[in-house]
Formats: sequence, structure tokens, C-alpha cells
Amino acid sequence: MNNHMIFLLSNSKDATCDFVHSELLNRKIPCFRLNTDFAPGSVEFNFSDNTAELYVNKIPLRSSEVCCVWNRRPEKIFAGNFSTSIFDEFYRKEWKSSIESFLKLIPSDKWINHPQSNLAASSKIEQLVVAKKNGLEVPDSLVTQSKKDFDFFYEKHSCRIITKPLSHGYLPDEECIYNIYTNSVDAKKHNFNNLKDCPTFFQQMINKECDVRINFIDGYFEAFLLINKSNGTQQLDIRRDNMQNVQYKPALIPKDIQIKLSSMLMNYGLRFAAIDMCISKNGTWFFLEINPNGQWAWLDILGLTDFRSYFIKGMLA
Amino acid sequence: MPATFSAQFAEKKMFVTHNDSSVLGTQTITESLEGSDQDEGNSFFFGTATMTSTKEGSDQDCSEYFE
Repeated sequence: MNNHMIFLLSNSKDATCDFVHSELLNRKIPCFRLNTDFAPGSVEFNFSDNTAELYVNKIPLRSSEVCCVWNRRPEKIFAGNFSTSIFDEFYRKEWKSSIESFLKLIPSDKWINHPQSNLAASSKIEQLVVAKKNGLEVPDSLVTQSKKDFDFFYEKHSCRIITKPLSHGYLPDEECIYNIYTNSVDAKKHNFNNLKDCPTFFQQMINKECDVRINFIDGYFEAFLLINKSNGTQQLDIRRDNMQNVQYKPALIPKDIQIKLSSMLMNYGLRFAAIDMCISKNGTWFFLEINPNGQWAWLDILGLTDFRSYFIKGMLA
Repeated sequence: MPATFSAQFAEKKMFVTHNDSSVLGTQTITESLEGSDQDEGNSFFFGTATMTSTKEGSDQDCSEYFE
């Protein structure tokens, strides 16, 4: 039978991929997992007679057999296993090209999500522009290296400003992890000497009632209010402390918000996304960002959702 | 190397060893929540194209999909 295999593309340490993989095996749904941190010798690639085949531990897969690629968390091939010598690098590049050749033969509409769609949706600033074009409320935003521009913005929003990374603030080191969360900015307290050296992202601080996490797969939305208050004030960054004190409540997304989000996601070509929004004290839904390859499994693990089933349904569609 | 304004907000955390066990618990997944939405793998395949300036390499190396 052709075109029946779910291809899981990730790395060996990806717990979310394990979570889905185990369910696929339980349900006896044909699947094939490639961890890009595979050991040399465990994977083979073959192309002949116009047919590409990949073997993982001697088990073959033709690109034409794939009904869905879940582009989960692939990593650099052989990362850490080789020196930086030009011949080791060449070896890695040959492998890289081989696997990409296989993947290229799988049509983009069979991917969740295709890397180009993820990339298209990877700019926080561009997302804000697109969200606003689609009629969503977005926080007033500024990216600047100018203290003068910052001061104007700070006054404009009555000193209620937050800053957050434009890329991401997850900075793993060899022995520890640094995180740069969303933080409020105090013009008197913080040091602005380095502002001129690097563009910095500032936004008006929304007077939040709560955050909202929205998971989306192939037209299906699932939303939860994320509440973590201290003295009646919602935390600026809900991710702090591994979200241990967060309370969850199922949420109904207003129809007009759903339509606007759907339009955005369709334009990006995203079949899956995890969307961050917040609701202000006066009930306005603000768009914060789309995570085109965001986390969702923790809500299933907490027993709040069964998003995995919808995800698998999407994979089989 | 110049620093960033944002660096003053960096918070140090204990290193977390990720578990590759097929037996999952809440902890395994939530341990990585803080940073894992921001996925550097977004552009891992087919994502970026870098042109090389060398004539010898330019035919072969017009795309670096994996980085």
C-alpha cells in the first residue's frame, strides 16, 4: 500500500516525539522515525531507478510511501560527533544532502509543518504586522537602538513597557541554562549603555487578566486560559518556574478571533501552530505570537486535552 | 563583542538533563517548556540559503539547508 507511512523527523531526546510515537505504535499506525542525531552506520540512503529509500536500522522507507512528515525537532546531523576538519564536515554535508534529497521528494502539503512555512512564520515583528493587517489587536511595539526613541515610547505608555527577545531567550550553556524572559523596563533602574549596540524589542505592557494558549491543527482550535497571579496581577511571562503555579481553564475563542487567526495561519501555510495571546482586564484579546513548532503535549500530560488524537488525525488526513 | 540591553535580564537556571526514555511523565516535557517553543530547528531543512562567494564552491554550496 502506497502513501501510508507517517514519518517522524526529530531527535532522540525529544519527549514530545516519544509521546506521539508511542501512541502511533499502540494504535498500530505505520510510522517511521528518523532521529537526526543517529549513530553513523545506523542509517542508509539509496537512490536508484528514480526511487529514494532511507533505511533506519535496516528498515526501509521509500519517499513515495510517506503520507505525512512531522517536522518536529530535527537537529544538526552528527552534532558533537565530529571535529571541524574539512573532511569531517564534508562527510556531514554528504549526509545532509542525502537526507534532504529524500525529504525534498515528499510534497510540501504532506508536512506538519514544512520548514519553509515554519521559517515564513518565524519573525515576531513580521507576525505582528500580519496580525494587525488581519484585524487582530497587537501591543504597540518598538525595536530600537535609540535611547531617545525608547524614552518617547516609555512616556507614551506611561512608563509601562516590557522587553523581550526578538529571537529567543533560551540560552543553554554547558553547565547551566540562561533564560531571558519578558521583563518590565524601568528607565531609572536599568542600564541602557548597550542599547545602541543591538536592536532591542519593547512593547507596551498590557494590563493582562490572563494569558491564552491556543493549539491549532488543520482547522481545529483548542484554547486554554493560563492564570498565574501574584497580588491580583498576572505574571508578565507565564513560562517562569516551568509554569508550575499556572492554573488552566478551557477557553472559547471568539469567532472573529478564530477567523483572523485562521487567515494568518493559512497565509503562512501552517497546518500546526501554538499561538500565544492574552486577554486584557477590559476583555480585549491581544495577539502576542505564533510558535510554528511550539509545545502542546504538556496539556495532554496534565489531562486537560487530548490534542495528540487531533494531531494524529491530522497526520492521517 | 558588544553586549545587548537584554542581557541584563538573563536568569541562570540549573542544567536540566533531558530524558529520552519512552516512558513519559509531565516533568519530562514541562522541564523543557521554558525554551522549547523557540525552535531553532524551524529552519533546519530547506530553510536558509547562503550564497558562497567562491567560484569553486558556488555551484555546490548555494544552499545550506541544515544550518
